[in-house]
Amino acid sequence: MNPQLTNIIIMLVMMQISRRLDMEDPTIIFYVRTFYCSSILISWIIYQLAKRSILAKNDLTTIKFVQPKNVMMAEEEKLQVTTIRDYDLKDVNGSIKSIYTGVAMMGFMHFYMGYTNPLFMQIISPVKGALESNEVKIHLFGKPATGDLKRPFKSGSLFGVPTGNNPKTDKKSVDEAERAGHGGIKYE
Amino acid sequence: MSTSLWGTFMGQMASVNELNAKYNALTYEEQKAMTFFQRLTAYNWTFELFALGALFLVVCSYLIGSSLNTSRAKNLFNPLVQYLKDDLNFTRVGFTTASKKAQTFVSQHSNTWFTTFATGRSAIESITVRGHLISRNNPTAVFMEFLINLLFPALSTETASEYAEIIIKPNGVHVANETSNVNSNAATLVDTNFKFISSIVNKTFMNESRDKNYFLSVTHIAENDSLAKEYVYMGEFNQLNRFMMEYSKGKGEILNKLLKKSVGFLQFISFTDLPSVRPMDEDEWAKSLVPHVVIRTNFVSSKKDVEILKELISCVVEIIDNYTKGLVTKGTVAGTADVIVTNEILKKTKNLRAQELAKIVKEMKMIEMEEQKEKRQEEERERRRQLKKSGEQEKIDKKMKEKRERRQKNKQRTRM
Repeated sequence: MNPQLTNIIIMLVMMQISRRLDMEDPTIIFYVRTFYCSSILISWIIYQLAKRSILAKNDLTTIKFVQPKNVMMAEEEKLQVTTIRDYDLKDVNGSIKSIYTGVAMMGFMHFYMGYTNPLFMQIISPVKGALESNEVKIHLFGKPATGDLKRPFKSGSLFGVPTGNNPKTDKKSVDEAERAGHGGIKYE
Repeated sequence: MSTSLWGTFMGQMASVNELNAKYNALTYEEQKAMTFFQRLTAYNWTFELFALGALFLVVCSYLIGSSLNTSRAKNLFNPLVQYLKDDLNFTRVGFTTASKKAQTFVSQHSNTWFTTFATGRSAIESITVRGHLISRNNPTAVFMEFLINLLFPALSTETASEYAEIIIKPNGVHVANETSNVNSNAATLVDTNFKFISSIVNKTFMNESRDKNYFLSVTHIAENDSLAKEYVYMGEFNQLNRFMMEYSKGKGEILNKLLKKSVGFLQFISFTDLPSVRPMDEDEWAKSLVPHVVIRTNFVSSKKDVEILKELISCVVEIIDNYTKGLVTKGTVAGTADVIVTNEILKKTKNLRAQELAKIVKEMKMIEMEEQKEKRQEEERERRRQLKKSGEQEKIDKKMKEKRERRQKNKQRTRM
């Protein structure tokens, strides 16, 4: 099943459960905190294991692709040249960073704003996200890097509809971007 | 939220003021009755001491950071300067101050930028070594840069990284021995035969190097078994890729070993005549076409790494020596079959430069047109504003309205 769809289902189920729980009860708060911390810790460990596997494999095969335009950052199409190791590391590090950001946000909402609900909602998704991540599938579950797991990874869509914001890997686009001469531009 | 933050801040300020509540409660007469020493002891100096302590920390961090940077620079520049002088036989190395004191390198911007220079040697016009270190003397700035780098990598600047760049300019001069004459066509040789791009780039720095250096962003990327697996070739044409291997000792065997040893710090070695900053117009383009070699590395300061860097510089100097020797002894490139930089290749590289220049000119024209369009629009807006002010606009609008009504009536008549 589509991971984003399952995320929505889990969210709805968790919302229903949270409505039946007394989020003011210190015992429940304690358990919610414990589950949330364990979930974060487990996902962090999963990513670290994937990272270790990437470093151990040290795959220096070069990959080239054209990064699509970033309208938000006013960036043009840009050639990305990297190795499989660096690509994977960047991806895993991004996921680890998002764990930290999530923890910071949850910490703020829970300790400063006093909400326990968001903490409860986030009990399953970090572990689920980690187990469904492409890097974990390749490096921990040993799935071959083909099809959906072929690098560069395509961005996920809710109902399998292509987003049109995926990196280009065809020879023509890559060749054009390679000689585009977009480097060394000094912005004033 | 902002209110509670403001409240916390005000609370802190109140507690600072509270420190001297007793002293402040003293009346003028009571204070007048006290001796100077009594007043000193009655006052609570905690806040002032804290401020002084903070100032002391700032001064200490400045001194420690500065000396740390200087010591790192010395570890790199002193052995390099010595090597350029003694082993690579440069006549003039380093700088001389106004008081005629020899200086191996100069430091600028609070010991964050370091430079040394060497000249006076056959085949090489000059070597410039530049190094950049983060401003350790300002930990707050370093921390802020670290945060920006972490949260918004797209906003990270060149000053956030530490690196060393060795720029070697060839001069086309070849002397077989101490008594032989200098070839007269040196300038022509450099102008015609060093106009190509051939680079070896560390795979870890491929993207970053292409982003920051214009000359790399116009090259093809190619992997080859002849090169250590941690590196790729980036050249204008595939035929140019083996240039460095061909002209180095042992046909690349030694260079490959060196590349493997320097994989931890070497970013790239590039023979180029194009600049690293993309020119914005024709004038800039013409000025920036200077044949040179760039060796870019992380800022190394350990003895072992500096030794490898010395060997790398020596290897590049040797490549320039051998190439220049080949050009001088065999005449120009034309007619020689065994060289990599053939006449055909040079013709192709010339075409590529013409195309790049055309691109830049076209972009400039587009920008100019945009600017003119904006200017015209602004003038039109200004004209309308003036007309509105003087009441002319109302008359024009009225006339236009009448015209429209007349047309409407005419149309209706025709239909009837």
